Amino acid sequence: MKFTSIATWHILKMNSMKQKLIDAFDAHSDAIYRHCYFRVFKKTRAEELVQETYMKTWDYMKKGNKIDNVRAFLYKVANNLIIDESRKRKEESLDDLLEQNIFIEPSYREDKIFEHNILLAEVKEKMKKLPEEDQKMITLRYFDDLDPKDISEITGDNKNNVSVKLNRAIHKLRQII
Amino acid sequence: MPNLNFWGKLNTLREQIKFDQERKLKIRNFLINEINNSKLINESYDANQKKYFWSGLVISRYQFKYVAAFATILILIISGSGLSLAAESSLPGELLYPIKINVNEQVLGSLTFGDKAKIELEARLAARRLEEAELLMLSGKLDNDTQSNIESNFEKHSQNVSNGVSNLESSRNSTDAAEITSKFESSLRAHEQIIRKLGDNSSEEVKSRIRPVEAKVKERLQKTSSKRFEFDNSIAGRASSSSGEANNILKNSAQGKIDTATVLIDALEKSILNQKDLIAPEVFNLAENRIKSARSLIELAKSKIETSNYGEAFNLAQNAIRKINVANLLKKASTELKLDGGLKDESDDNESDGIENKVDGNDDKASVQSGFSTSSDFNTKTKKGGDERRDSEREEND
Repeated sequence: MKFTSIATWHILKMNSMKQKLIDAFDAHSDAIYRHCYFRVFKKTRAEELVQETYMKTWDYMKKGNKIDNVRAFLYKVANNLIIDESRKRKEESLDDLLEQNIFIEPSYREDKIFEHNILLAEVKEKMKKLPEEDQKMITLRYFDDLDPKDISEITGDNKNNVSVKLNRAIHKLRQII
Repeated sequence: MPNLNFWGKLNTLREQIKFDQERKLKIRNFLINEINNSKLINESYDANQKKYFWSGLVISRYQFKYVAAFATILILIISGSGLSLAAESSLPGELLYPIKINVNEQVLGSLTFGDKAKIELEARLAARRLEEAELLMLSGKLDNDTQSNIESNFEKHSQNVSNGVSNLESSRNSTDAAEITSKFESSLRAHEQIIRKLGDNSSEEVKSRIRPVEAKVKERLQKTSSKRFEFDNSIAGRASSSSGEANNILKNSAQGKIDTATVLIDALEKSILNQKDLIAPEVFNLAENRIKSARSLIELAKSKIETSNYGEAFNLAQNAIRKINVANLLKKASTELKLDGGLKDESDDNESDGIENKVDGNDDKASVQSGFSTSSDFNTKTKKGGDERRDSEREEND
């Protein structure tokens, strides 16, 4: 019956959207987490940002909006959330980092945790001296392993602009380190 | 510590920072839950701003609302009028109520597929009758005719649930049967408390009409609770000689229940904190107590997993889910019906003495996780390729 087939089509479409989002979670949540972590340097907050990123993406999808490149979209949403986050965030001391429950592989030793925390503090200290935009570019390129083409899809810049911004960010970072 | 330059340190950290897989799974389950509960239509309001709240059978709410929306549109097309839409918000005794019951809900039924979904629909309709009763009680419009109408329809849908559950049992689908029974029990328990509270707040005349409805709900609650207890014992005691594979299935089911319960607990906690100003203090405290209680049950369930008592773990997690469902319904009643308290945190579940057994079917986690793959249609770069590119880029800049 015609009306039933319309209903079935709609149900199938909804199921397809759900599946798409869950597939995107399975494929990209690790990367989104890493990106968020290296921007906010807080495990719990990074986890929350992952959840918020996917929820916002679902809100967008269920309104009927189409997303061609889900990965780029997720990074965009995450970055917007992180920008909001950076407006509220205050400086953390090494002590704060050490108190956090930083996840590393199960077969750790106490000295490895300490080394890890020192590494993290050093990298964070250097990164935090950069403007937010440069931090984003460095993170996308060197933590997330995205090439300028991918980054251009996320930021909306053209590929040349992305390369220029990356080079400037690296130059600034080199001066810091 | 190795003497690394900055980039080396950065690379080392890249390897070390990983998404906690347990936490990842919890977020995944939360996401699935939220997707399934997404509102696809707005609840309909009539001209007098009457508002419905939907008591939650968590898994079925998505299907019910979605099918309700589409059925309404379907009816509109067929009837060529807005009558059916207006009927959706009607109450017993009103002109359009027969259209709601005899047309709208029949169409809903015809658009619901699968035994489990049909039984869940019946449970939702039984709850819907109680919601209608509560709105009538609140507005003082529950008279003899509407009272008997509600009682008979509630009884009809409840009996359909009971018959459906028996059929599932006979067709050896006892896990679905147990799940439906558990959820229906949560719904009835919450409504029983709400109706009792409404009765306490009413005049003697209205009270005299509310009490019979309350008694019917209580009677059905007792039957459902007993049935659920039977299922608990069955799950706990069925397979003392489980095979390794059967034990694994049970373990996974129990773990799935624990994960689902954890997600629901977190979601409810967040919800009551966000709505603290809107909820009566007693209800807030009740919800907090239930959350604490549910968390304790989950910790106990986890310890049962560690000692391989998977049946007990399953039942404890189910118990936690029931507590959260009831708390959620009461919270909604507090905000929607503006109940100002008087809802008691009664002990509502007998914990089962679960022992190891076999589970032959779905649980909450499995039912929402069907068919998910890790396939991706997006480009991903190999690590090796990425490293080479990054290194050459850095060399250019050094």
